[in-house]
Amino acid sequence: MFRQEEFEKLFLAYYRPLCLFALNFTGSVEAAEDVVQQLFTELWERAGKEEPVVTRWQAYLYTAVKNRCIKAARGQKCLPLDRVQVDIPGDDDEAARIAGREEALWRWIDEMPPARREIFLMAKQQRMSYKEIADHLHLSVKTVENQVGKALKSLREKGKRFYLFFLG
Amino acid sequence: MNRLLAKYIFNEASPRERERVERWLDGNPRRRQELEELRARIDLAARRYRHGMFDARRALARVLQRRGNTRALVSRVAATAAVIALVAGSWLLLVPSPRATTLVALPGETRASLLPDGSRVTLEGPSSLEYATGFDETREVSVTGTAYFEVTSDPRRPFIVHSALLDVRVLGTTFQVEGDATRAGVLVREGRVLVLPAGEQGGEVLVAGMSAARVAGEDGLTVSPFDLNRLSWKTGEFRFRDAPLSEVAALFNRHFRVAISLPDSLSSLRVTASFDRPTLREALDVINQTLGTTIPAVTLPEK
Repeated sequence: MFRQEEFEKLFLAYYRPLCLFALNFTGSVEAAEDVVQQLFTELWERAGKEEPVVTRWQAYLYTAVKNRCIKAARGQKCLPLDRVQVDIPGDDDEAARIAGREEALWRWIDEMPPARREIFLMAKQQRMSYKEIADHLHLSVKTVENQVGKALKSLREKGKRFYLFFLG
Repeated sequence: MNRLLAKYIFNEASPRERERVERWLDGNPRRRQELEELRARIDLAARRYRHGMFDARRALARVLQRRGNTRALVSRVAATAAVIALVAGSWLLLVPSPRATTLVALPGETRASLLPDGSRVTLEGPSSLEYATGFDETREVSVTGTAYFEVTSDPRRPFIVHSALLDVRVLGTTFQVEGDATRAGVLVREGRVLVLPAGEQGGEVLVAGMSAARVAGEDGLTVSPFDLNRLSWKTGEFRFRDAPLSEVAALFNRHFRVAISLPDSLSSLRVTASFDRPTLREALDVINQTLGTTIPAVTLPEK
């Protein structure tokens, strides 16, 4: 029997990486979330009736999401080219690895204090210079420097944990 | 070192600082490798990151609730449908079959969904939409409230929207249907649609930029151009031509879920501007600069 506790664990572990994976196909955040939520809703609906026999959840979920995205796109004659990312790996395990990695990095940004996060994203996503950020937020350039430095520090520490974990 | 390295990566380092970093990198080949690794990870991290996007806990709550409520929602819609069917006579299609799917957007909520044929619908709550799961031979949906459709083209299977007062038939286009059992409207953004008053003769073909409205108990359809801002809850596009500031504020309050309140002295100022998917701050900056005002962006606390 599929208990709610297990379902929740599965959901929380895979929801975001699956959405990031789906986004490669849909190009739309809403559509990506919809595909993943719909899949989990059906899983949960079936869970009351039958024992899940899936042993490799990761492979199952990624393949299911991909198939649903493709099916949803089939109605559209041709996806606009700028919406399709050409670097989607054909191998689902590889895709799962990349999405999982991206999600881990999202968590890194999530965990930053809000002000640091804002500064980091301004520097990276909006390509603003330290000076521009400082002016915009009424801070000193030194503070901006410190905050970006701290963001990098946490990333490097996280990296070390990664290496220790994977390479022993 | 982290601060220096960050400056190096973000191109903020002075020539002397760059030199220091280069020397440090040359000291051990693994450092250069780590730098490249760091760059790659920062790029991947920031490529699509949006704070609060893909919130797993919120989504989980929704999925769990959806299962618990599917039955309840369908039967509530059935009850409503029965009442309205008595009134409108022709709205029987809404009475759900066992294999129907119902999408619901709660008040204050905007919900986008993909239909089985790849068409997209966005509901602005309180609204609901129902269709036969899988669509089969026809593409028919029933709607109450406000729904924005982006219909994929399929010449062999017309897409049909039923509402209490209007039926809309299209092949592939973008349009909005709004209303309840007392009044209804169709607004066409792209392509063309055929609008039929439910249970009556006649109909109108609408092209992009045109709308049709019908009021219960009155004959026929009223066809007229419409204000594009009626779609901005979905499109994020705002077009103001000599619009009173109070109107602008009302639209922003709805779209950004904020509470801008204007002093009377300002509400009659006029705005001519257009915005495409602005943030609230961007839009207000433009308006404040143009009018010389200082309207603050007051955000409502999240519930």
